[in-house]
Amino acid sequence: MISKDQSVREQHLAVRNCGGWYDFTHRLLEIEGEDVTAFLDWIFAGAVARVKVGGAKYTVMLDASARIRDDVIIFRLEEQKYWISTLYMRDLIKWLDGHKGTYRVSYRDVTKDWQMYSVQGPKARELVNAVAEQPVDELKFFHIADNQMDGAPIKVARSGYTGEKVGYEIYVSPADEQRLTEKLEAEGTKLGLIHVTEVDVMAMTLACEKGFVLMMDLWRTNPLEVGFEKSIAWDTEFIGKAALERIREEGPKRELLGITVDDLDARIYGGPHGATVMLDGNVIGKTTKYTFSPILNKSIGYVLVDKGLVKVGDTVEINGVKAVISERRFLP
Amino acid sequence: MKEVEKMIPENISDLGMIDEDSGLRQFRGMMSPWDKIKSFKETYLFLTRHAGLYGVCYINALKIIEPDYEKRTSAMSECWGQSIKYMWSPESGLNMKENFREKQSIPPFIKDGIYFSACFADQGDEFMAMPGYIWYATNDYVEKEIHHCPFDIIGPEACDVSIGGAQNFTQCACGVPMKNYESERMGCGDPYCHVIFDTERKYGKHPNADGHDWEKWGPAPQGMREKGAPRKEECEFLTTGEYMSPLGQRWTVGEMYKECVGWPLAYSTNAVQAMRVLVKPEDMERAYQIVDVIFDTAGKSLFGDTNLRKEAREWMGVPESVDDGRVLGGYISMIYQARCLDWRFVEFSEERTVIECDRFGLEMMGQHPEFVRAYEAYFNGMAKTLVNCQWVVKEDKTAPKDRVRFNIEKGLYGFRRQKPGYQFEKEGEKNDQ
Repeated sequence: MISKDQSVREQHLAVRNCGGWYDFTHRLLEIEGEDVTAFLDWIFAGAVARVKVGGAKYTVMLDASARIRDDVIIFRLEEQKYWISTLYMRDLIKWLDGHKGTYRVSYRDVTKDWQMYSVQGPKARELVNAVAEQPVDELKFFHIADNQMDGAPIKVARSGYTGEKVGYEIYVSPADEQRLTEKLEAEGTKLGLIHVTEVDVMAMTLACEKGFVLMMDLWRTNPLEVGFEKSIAWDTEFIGKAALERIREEGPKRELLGITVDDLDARIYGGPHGATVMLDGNVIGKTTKYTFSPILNKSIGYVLVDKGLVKVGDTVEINGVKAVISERRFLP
Repeated sequence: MKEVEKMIPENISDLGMIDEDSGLRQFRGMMSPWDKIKSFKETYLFLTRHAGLYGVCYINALKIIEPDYEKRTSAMSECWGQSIKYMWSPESGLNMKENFREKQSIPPFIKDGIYFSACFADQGDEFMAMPGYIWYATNDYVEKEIHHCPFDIIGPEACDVSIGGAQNFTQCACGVPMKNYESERMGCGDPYCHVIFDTERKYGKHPNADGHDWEKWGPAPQGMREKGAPRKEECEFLTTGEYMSPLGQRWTVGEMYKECVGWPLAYSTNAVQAMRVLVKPEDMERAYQIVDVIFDTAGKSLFGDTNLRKEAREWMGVPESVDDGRVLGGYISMIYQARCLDWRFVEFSEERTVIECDRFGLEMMGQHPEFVRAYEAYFNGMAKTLVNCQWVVKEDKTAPKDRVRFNIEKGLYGFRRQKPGYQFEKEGEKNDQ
């Protein structure tokens, strides 16, 4: 399986040890208008208003019961113009349509206007500096700035889905995409960075080692169950706030934890269907993700379990397989 | 003469809230003419099992029409394969790839691979009420186990046609050479289905690479399932109200129901298409007669056991005083409600029940007119046991062209065969013959 996949191992380790680049285009919504900041503050549970121009924020969108509907990154491009990077555009637009009311905002899907390439790893900065006209040394984490590549406009964000200290995401128009990939290939090869082609490296193994989540992990949870309490803007009004405050008072009923499994041949599944997690013969939750860590040489994943029943180091059983509870972030 | 009881039930309609996405009733249910309401879950399971039974009839008929397994399964699989290939081709103008990508929220950075199949197949299994687990899901390998299937009663043809269809779909959608196969199938008597999709670039060609698309079954090269997972009794979305695909796209129950309504007679459509290819025009009427006989038998068997007849009446809340065509009309109305057809009672009395529905829907997007005749035979069979042998069901050919109308009334089932030359005795005369 994935643990035996040499290509996945090699590409994963290459990113961790030196770096890698790959097409990581997400769906992009451009939203602007006089009321855009207030509107986004209402829609999302993080304080968008506090993001300065050029800044970015990872936040969640809740329903009235405080369940997470989507997790996104919001970039503030101008005072009244933002990008929302998501994987679920049709649901996002439907949600915005349903809650727009009298807010003076307009939005459109600009996914086709921008391709995004991720450059991640210890030597990522060198590669981006070799490609972009302006150096990105001073670009702070979770910030985005305009730049150029051989005269063509690009945007560079310091962000990523790998947990690497150094990582960037380059936004380029489709017309200039080929030029960018050629430069990344040429300059990357000189520096020892690879072109990552394995989707499972881009979206699963690198991210999971660092505790990052997908919607399959967040489905039907609230932010307090998945460790997002600090990112909630409790002093603003947002959809789902009342329910979330009640949950905060009562305490979340579940928690999202990590698991490790030594047996690389063990077969467990995460994802939406999930596998049942048992403790002393009782069902305590389900898996949400199960993948492999080439760094730890173990299988890793997440479980959503009833709160307080297990702690780090405890052993649970999943489909007859022993798994050890761990912190969700497997690597520092 | 007994005063005719006449009532046309007026409140038998869709139940539940409108789902904005599908336009259908969220959590839809059924209601019998005697106000017995059936839940969403029951309606969903009723629909899929009805589709399974319908499929059994058609494919059993096809077994008589074409006794050769390979010929009929190839015909079914290849007809479906052709239509899939056409729909997914640029020439069709349907823009299937882009629409599929948008609908399933496949991220732009996933250019090809098995995640496309995983989304298609997993959602397909779920909306056809087939619960299971995905054991592995990577972009080059997906392995799934299914624990319940309303269509397993159809037999191995259903499994083969499914595999053939999946092969064709994934070839069109995945963008890379891949293969899929089933190493265990409930339709063949295994306790569960075990399906694998993998790419040739990582896992090589199938051992039966030169065989038919549908002949891709056999042991999984990665090893067999571990037997530690608890058996899933039903799809989770029937309880939670929401389904999530392997890539995180959520679907409401209304959307899932809409998908199901578009598919449930799937195996029957394969059989009809195969018949059109296998049977010469001059033999087609004979083929239709075989279909009639099979459906008539099935209809009679459905309520042949007196206990089942009694339970069906209780299920619909039929009063003791009602024992006529209205009972069958009520059952047909449940089928129509489950299939989301636009339907109504034209007449509903002790003497006669007339039920009509939208032809386009009954014929599955207007493409299978054969279904009308099959339903006529099916309902006619049901009439004999759910009511009694005095009742017949006939299509009313005077109905508007876009409607299918079935009349349920008393009538001769066949004819009384007379010895040649024999005449009925006239009153007062004695016949020595």
